[in-house]
Amino acid sequence: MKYHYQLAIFGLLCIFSFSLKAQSFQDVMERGKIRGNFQFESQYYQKDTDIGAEDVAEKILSNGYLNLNYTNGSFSAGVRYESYLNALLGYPTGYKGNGIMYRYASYDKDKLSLTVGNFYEQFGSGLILRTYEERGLGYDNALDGVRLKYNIYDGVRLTALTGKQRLFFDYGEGIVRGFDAEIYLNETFSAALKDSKARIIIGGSAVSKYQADESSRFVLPENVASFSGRASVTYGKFNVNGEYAYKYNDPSADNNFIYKNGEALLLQTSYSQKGFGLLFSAKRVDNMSFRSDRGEGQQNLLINYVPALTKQHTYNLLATLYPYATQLNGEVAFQGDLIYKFDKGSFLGGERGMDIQINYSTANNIDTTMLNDDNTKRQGYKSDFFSIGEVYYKDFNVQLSKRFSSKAKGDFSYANLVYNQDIIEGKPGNPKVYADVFIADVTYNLSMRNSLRGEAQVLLTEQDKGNWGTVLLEYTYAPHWFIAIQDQYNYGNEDKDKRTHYYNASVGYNNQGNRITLSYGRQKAGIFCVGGVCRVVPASSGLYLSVTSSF
Amino acid sequence: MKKQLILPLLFIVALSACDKVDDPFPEKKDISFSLDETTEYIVDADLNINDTTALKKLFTDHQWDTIAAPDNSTKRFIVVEEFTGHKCLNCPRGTWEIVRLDNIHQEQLIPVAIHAGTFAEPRPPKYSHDHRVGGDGGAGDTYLNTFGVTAYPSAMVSRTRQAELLSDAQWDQRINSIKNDIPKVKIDLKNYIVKDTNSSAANILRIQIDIEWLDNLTKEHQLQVFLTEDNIIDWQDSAGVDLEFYNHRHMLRKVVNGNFGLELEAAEIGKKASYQYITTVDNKWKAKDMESVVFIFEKSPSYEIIQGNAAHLR
Repeated sequence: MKYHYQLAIFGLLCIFSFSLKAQSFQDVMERGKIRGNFQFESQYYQKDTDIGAEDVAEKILSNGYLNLNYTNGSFSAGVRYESYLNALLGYPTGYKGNGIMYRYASYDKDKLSLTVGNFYEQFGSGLILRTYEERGLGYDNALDGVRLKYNIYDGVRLTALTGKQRLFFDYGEGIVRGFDAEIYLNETFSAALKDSKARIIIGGSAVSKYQADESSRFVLPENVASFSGRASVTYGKFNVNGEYAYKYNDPSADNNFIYKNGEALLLQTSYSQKGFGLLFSAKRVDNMSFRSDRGEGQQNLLINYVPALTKQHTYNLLATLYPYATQLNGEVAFQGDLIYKFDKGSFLGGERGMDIQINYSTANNIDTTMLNDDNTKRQGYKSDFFSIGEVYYKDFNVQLSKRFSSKAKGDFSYANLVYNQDIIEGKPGNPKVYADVFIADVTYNLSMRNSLRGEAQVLLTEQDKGNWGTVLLEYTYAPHWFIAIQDQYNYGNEDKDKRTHYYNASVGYNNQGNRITLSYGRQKAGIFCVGGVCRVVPASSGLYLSVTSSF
Repeated sequence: MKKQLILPLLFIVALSACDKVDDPFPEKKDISFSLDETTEYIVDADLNINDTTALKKLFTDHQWDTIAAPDNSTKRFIVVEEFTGHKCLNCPRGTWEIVRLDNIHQEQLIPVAIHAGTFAEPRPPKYSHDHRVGGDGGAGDTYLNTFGVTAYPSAMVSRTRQAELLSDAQWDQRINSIKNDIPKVKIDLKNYIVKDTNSSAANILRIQIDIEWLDNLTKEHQLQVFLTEDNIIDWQDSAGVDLEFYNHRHMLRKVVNGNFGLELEAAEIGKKASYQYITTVDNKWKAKDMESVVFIFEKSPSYEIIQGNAAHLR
């Protein structure tokens, strides 16, 4: 209950402190706006020995969230109430109970923005600082502290912050301090660059964490600093940007308490014009796990984020069977993307044109030579910047999108994967998975309000659990209703007893800002990833209800 | 202060918020025992001797050879700490000067060659051995930085005149200027080492130090214990020529009791104190060419060594 009292007092103080001047209380209140959203997920679990779904003692588990944001002129404040009674299976077990773990107040005045309480922030591409919420993963590393943003000159934006990171319903031990400067050169030097076609942005960041050294085994650095520099140049349809980050000795459970410095480099370049886009990305990450508690693991208390250079697949088999998890301890990755639209009337475009997207990504370990200095300097290893080690992941995929008629359209995909289970899932000794995936997704509009969509997917591999297939049929009665059935079938499993069907049926209702979904079925065990950040999901079976609403 | 300065200042603060750790391991604390009223026994933590019973057993389980250092009750023994390195092309010149002076002053001169700094870094394939105590950032580098060594060869003669670093041409004169000083303290030194060289305890060394103050002194003092090894044959750059079989002399091998030693009680004439350091000798070192070097020096900022002594191990 104490959170509710805190909220009420907090809100009143904010309103009276910042908004009341000569105007009446009523005037002030009329200017205020409240926005928010609500989400509730609940599942009734049943034991299902065929898929390894264990009995759940509570039978029903639920997650609930309510965001409330109040704005009044230059003042804003907000809270998020969270409820885990108890958390859905697969969520970190630290989420248990109810409470307000996100509340903030913010005020803007004369180019200075001030936030106290919780906030999310990202410096550059996130190589040394990114706090964010990804609810599907149970990921929330929000900072609780103070943040200042100041536009000191035209085009010069400074950010300074300090805070502690959220850890479920508590805070991590460490304190995070950070500073970022971003300069939009075309604004800062507007006279000199006003006719320039090039748009140039440069930036630099410093982030330091403090955690007391209470180890009897090692002398640990209590303050660990990291720095980064970045630049982005856009010239017409062409863009190139990059960021380099460096982190001083940060022994932690992630790197087996070695004292090697860390570094990361991210480069991206793109060219786009109507009907054509080309993107190439590269990164190298070496010992860049950066947490505000050196003893933590999983996704807890990460200060930084290393962007994934692999495609975020959405189709069932590609997204759930072999998704890639970014390896913060060491990774060299490349990705290329080509998007092209065949014009109507062209040989391949036909009467209605056709889109093609070709994507190739690869992630390898860095090439390391062990130093065997565990009992001396504990530098761990050395690595040649330009050498590449073992393959972690490869994904070549092509997607064709084609409208056949005014009523029918289809998306057709092929993907070829190489997946290192040993590293990505932490399953030593398991062979790499080589898989081919074929997907057809066809939608047919029966009428203005009625449409039918079907998916057929197959994944072919000789490793792991063998071949899989998925079929899905979805009927939509616009704009409110949909109903779908799906079956994922592990038909190629060498063990015939494990050739399991993962069936699922769902029905949903949408009405403006409200959406209600009810489904029944099975979910296979595996890993679930968003942006290269993953969590392990156990097998489950039962009835699932989801309600979302925004206002 | 202008408000524009506030955030850049925060940036500077963030830049400085970093601890660089060169040695990941906490310094092991030697364990101290009192078996009798006169001697404090200080045992290397690596020996895992945790009680007096185990300590007594160590003494009684083995036969011990003993070698005593010369009497220095009437002479001030002089410690010459020379900074050197195997890639220092002028350093052989320093070694030859030390050898010459050692021949003149005999037991009164105690040379210690400290390999430290850039010239002492391993450089394979020839100069692959690391002769620095504690390696990079170890005791040798600590002394190098503390005393501000900028040129090689250079040496401190009993750290006189606030640990003044002298070139090889100056050592002779400085030694002569202090060799007739009346000693302020006497150091009796005796090494005990297991007689049986095939024993598993053959690498255990007991260094018995008995001091007696010969004057009343107002300054505070530290007791320092080193191990040195003589006649190490290895590569040396000599005036640009790589010498494979160069004889490295009096090399500092181990700092037994911390980089700046043990704090002593106030110096009062006639007052005595006894310590026995029990430590280990690396099996790769030649015990017959080794010495324990003990000296007493004034605390910072003087660092002056007022008395020293040395004794062979075997």
